[in-house]
Amino acid sequence: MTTANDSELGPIDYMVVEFPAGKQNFNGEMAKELTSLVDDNTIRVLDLVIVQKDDDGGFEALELDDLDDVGELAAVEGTLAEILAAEDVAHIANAMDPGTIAAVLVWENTWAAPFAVAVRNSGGQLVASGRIPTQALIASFEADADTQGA
Amino acid sequence: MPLRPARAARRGVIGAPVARTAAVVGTAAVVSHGVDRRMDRREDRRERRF
Repeated sequence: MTTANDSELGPIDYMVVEFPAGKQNFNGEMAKELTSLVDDNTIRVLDLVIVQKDDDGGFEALELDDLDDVGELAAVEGTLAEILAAEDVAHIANAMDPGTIAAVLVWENTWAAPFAVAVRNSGGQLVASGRIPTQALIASFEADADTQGA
Repeated sequence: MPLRPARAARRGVIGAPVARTAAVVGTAAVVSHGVDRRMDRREDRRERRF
């Protein structure tokens, strides 16, 4: 019998989203979109840490359950697997601007797992994967347009 | 509250240093240029066949 633990693990990504002081508007919109992705089985949230960096460069990290009111995010607490190590959080804090708050999210791309299985069943194997920066895409198309216009 | 103690004993997974990325917001219009280009090429191939 196949259990949830036997199912294929999808690729795991992370992002750090920084909120400068005075520009924070935590109105629940992010939580709603995130839980929607979880509900659709598009992703599974594996870790979520909040990092506050002082003006003097010191930082404090908070676990999701340290927060008073997490709203809809309470729905993802059950899947958190504490992926990040303390040294990861320190490296992330180093990259943050002083006086900001950052949300660090780690998620599994659950949507990709069935496709990966299909690829393997078809004899394929992963050689490379990655993310194409939007800047590179824009630059490529602009260069193309310049060539055609010349 | 600090991070849970178990995180301190764990090996890092994202590597260091963490590089800041430029925040560029792209719209679907960015790739629509590529879609148009592909359609043009398909038209060209079709015309060459006749």
